[in-house]
Amino acid sequence: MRHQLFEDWLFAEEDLDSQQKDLLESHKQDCQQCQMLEGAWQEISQDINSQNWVMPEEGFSQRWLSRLEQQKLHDQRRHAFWAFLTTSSGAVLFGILLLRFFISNSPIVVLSYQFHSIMVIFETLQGLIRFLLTIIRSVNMIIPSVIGLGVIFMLWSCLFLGLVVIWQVVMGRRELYDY
Amino acid sequence: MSRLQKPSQEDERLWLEQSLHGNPDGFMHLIEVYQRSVFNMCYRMLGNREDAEDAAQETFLRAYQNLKKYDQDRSFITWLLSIAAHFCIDQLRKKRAKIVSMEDILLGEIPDPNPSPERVIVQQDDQLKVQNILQQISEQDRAALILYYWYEFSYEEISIILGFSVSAVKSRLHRAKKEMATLWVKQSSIMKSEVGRKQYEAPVV
Repeated sequence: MRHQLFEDWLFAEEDLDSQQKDLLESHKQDCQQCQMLEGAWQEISQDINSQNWVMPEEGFSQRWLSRLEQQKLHDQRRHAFWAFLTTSSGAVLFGILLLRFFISNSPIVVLSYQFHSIMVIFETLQGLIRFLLTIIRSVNMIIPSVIGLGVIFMLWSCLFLGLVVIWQVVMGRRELYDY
Repeated sequence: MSRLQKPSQEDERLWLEQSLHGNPDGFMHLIEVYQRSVFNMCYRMLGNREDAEDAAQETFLRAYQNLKKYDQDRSFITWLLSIAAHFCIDQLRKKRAKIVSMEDILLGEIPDPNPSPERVIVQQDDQLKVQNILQQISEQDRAALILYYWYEFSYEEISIILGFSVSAVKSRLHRAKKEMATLWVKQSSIMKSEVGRKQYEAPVV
């Protein structure tokens, strides 16, 4: 029998049956490597048992309390920063709009400009949709509808699988911290 | 006998209730009781006092912040050690190799009241060797080994703490023991050859 198997039995967590025990005992009598490994583990486990537990320095709980205070302060500062950033950006945007309103001296001009911007966005979106529809129609003419449906089904399946994989990865990562 | 310190169930429940109501005093009591267990776990995992202090502090902070997630049917110390073990594994993954300072290890131990000088030297030498070898095995195997041999948890408890199956815990323990024994044999033979070399090189008076 291979030596590796006996090494595995030497450190097995499961109980060995009587035949395995006998085989291991007779192997150990002739195998110096196994004797050394067994002796080494005995010494290690004795040392583990004799080791005292390491204590933190005095005042651990007080240090934790000040750390908690620091953390709270840090969180408050972070929230205050984001609140400041959001409100100040909103205020700046609003200020710019007001400034435009006052500079132009005519609210009609500002409103028409805003209306024009919205219309441009709508037209761009419409153009994009028309472009996509043209592509789909031309593909539909080239490829028979059954194959087309198959391709669409495959694309949706891939998309779904991709979402499942992302979900699993994210949840797996979260579970690591979800004690 | 287990070396884990535990308060009475009533005390623990009371302190947890206080902490859940935003009173850190209750949690301070829990820290007083469990700091030794958590610190020791972090120290065995990370190999030095400075990192162990930081990890233990962070463990209690995370526990306090996530106290609402704690399932009271489960033992509180296993939950704490689970946070500590995951945090240490994460830290070790970030750092990978960390050299153990001999000074750190010797300072960390509480001395035996009546040790003979020879015994002290041999014991410290062996304990240093165990700690050094422990730092050389994989983080998750190390965590399983510490929980089994230092804390005397069962396979089932370790599987809950580390989030592995029971068979995975057994195979990790098997691998860890084998690796540690192999490393111990290697280190012993290196030390023996070193001593032999020094004796050979020493001038004859």
